[in-house]
Amino acid sequence: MEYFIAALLILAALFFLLSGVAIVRFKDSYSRLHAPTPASTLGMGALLLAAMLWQGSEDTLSIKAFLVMAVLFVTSPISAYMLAKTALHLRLPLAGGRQLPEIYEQARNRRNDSSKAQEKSDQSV
Amino acid sequence: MLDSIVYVTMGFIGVAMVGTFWRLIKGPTIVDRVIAMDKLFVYSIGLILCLGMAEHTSLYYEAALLIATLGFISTTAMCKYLLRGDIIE
Repeated sequence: MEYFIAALLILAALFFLLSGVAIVRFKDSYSRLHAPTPASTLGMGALLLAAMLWQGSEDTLSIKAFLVMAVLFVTSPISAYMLAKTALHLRLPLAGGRQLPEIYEQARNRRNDSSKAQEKSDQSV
Repeated sequence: MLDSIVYVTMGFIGVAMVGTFWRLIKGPTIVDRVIAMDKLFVYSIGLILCLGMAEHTSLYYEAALLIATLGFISTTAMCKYLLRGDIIE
């Protein structure tokens, strides 16, 4: 059990270090958004599993560590989605200055479509 | 053995935090800064959990839970402000 906890901790440390290097080295905002995602899923998952087993080796299996893991696993995809939508909304270019006009328009039009649909439903009410 | 591994993990997280903080200061666009802030919240949760493991106490889980919730809320509020120019419409 001790070696398993040690392996989980080393895995988490490597993922954290990898994402820290990636957020420095990557060239544009979209790759910087995707780079640190393993830290918040795999790294935090391994670290919290190690914390649960660590507590479990002493008195009882810790439910609080599982709660932190559940909150992180639910919220991190939502914040990543919001950040990607913000980056597309601000029309940020790819690395090398390449633009993505169709995808910008798609990201903006989807919001307009949903607001139009809401207006229609408001009028029908 | 495990105690020293916990301290090594804390050191690795510290290195990652330094890199992310550099990106928070330098970041060419505002989205890079928001990403760096979001990741700093995650790293601080990891650091606090490692501190709890090193001190053999389960006292820090509430703090980690609070930081996770507040980090999500602040990232979402920042994105809403950048998307719509307003947070609560």
